[in-house]
Amino acid sequence: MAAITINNVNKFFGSTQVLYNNTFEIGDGEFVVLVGPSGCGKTTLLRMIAGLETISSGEIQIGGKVVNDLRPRDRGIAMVFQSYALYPHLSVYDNIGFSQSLKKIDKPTIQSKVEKVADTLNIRNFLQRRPRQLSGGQRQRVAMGRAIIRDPKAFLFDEPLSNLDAALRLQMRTEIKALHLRLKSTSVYVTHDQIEAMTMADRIVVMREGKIEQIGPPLELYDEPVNTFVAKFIGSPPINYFEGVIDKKNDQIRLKTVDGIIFPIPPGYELETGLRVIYGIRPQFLLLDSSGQGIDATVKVIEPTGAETLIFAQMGSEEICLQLMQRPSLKPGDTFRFTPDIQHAHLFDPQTQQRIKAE
Amino acid sequence: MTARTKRSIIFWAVLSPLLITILLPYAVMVTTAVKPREEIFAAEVTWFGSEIRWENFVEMWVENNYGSAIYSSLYVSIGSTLLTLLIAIPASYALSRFQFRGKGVYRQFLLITQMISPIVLIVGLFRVLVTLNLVNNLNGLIISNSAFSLAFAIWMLQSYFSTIPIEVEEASWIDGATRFQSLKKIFLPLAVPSLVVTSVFTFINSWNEFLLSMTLLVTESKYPLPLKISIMAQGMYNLEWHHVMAATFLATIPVAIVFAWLQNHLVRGLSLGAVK
Repeated sequence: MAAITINNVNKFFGSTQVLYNNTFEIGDGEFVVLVGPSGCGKTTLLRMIAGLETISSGEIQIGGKVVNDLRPRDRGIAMVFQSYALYPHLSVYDNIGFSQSLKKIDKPTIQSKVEKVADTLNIRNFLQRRPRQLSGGQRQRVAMGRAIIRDPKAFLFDEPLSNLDAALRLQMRTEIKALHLRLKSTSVYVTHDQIEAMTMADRIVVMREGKIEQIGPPLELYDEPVNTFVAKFIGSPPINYFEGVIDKKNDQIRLKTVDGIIFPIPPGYELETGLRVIYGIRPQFLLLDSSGQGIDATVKVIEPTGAETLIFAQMGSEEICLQLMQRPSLKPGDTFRFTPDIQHAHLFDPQTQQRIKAE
Repeated sequence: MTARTKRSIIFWAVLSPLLITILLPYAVMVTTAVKPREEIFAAEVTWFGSEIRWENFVEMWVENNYGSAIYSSLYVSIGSTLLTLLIAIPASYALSRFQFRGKGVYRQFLLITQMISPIVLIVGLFRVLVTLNLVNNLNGLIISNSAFSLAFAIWMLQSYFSTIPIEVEEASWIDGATRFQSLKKIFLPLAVPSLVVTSVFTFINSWNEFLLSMTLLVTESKYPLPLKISIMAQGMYNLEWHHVMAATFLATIPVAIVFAWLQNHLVRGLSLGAVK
């Protein structure tokens, strides 16, 4: 296993720039997830680590060695593709053993290696089948087996769960993570699904339009997002945003939204009256209020997921989302009152979109 | 009677004349080939003669040095098929996988050259082969046949190659294969249906080819089958129809075998490649 260093990496396709000065490190044995909306460059960056795309400028190191000019097969990496890319004309056994047969390893050794990997992934029974005879989850395991048998310095995953149904995705997510913990493998995992990122990563790299927005452990990104994009991208359902101005009453600063609704501001902020800010608060931190105080809203849609209830409501001219652990007896059209748990509110600068930190 | 049965009958009725037009010459050829010579132009026209005279084939073979014609045909057809594949596979791979300047122009060029009939080019071709000292040489014929088949072969292969996902090749490179190993062990096995189709078309075109053979070959012993049979059918004093028919019949057999053997691959290759 090895560490990976991305140093000032830029990528151009023709005259179009798709990656801008990406720099970060992936530690030995770390599971790092590259996440972001479609087109943000995460797959391109992964393919550049693999050697399937050239590096326009900058440097990538694997295990301390600069790999810019090395072909994929000399980089010591293994990759799991989104479409699995299994060899259709070979059996599962030959798919997994392909890399070993290229190295001219003797047949008995290949056999024991393949069988061992197959046991790890529970695919021992399918070794003689062809990929087209397998289900999606089985194919995915074969793809992983093909990677594992090479004992690589790092594993690269390109959205491996995208083609699976929801239930299978959940199961494979856990399996991949369990495998990572057992093999202690350095892993770079690309996904557009922030839940996969949150549940699997040691650290997350959030990307947008070729630039890195924030890097950090999942909960750090969740609790201390650096800007509105990260705050909105991480967390489901997404964070609520209201625009407003800073108002002062009785020496207490508070937010006044465009509709004139008042939101309390957590202590520790020193802000000028009249300053425009964006108030961000996650759905689970808006609580139903029965005391008679609180902010009015009208229910638009109720989504019970079983464990919790999502309420999409109209507050003045803004739409908000509440995530409640209880099951209130509300119907669309009902009005209710809620209060924000201001300990978890964030303020963002509307110009720079950066989070304003408390003093 | 169901609507379906009615439709079947109508289709059969409409297509029968066409079927007969196609099958009749073949049927006449086969029956004439096994008829005793005296009975071919008898007053009473019958399908089968008094006996099946298999000796016709032997006579024909010996009298006309048929063996050399078979050898020539096989040599030229197989040779030009292999040469075409040798050139077309890399060309199609490049067209399918790489970007390069002039790619669009090249593809247009391939398309347009297919519309040019060999007859138009025969004089120029002859001169080129004279310079290369390849006139009256079966190898010259191989090169010429191959050249005429290339445009179609490249076009067919390239369209099929583009349906093979590049991720499969990328996976093999990551697994440790060189580009050549990947081509040999992963890509080409997956391209087999298109390779079969292209080979069959090139082989058959070469097997049936008449104009180039006639222009480029002088020595009769080098003549491939179409040329040999045409000579047999030009008999000045006595035209041995039963021999001509026997010769023609034998000449159709390899093609029939090739088609029968590769039917499955053929349909797959044609339909998959054609959709692009």
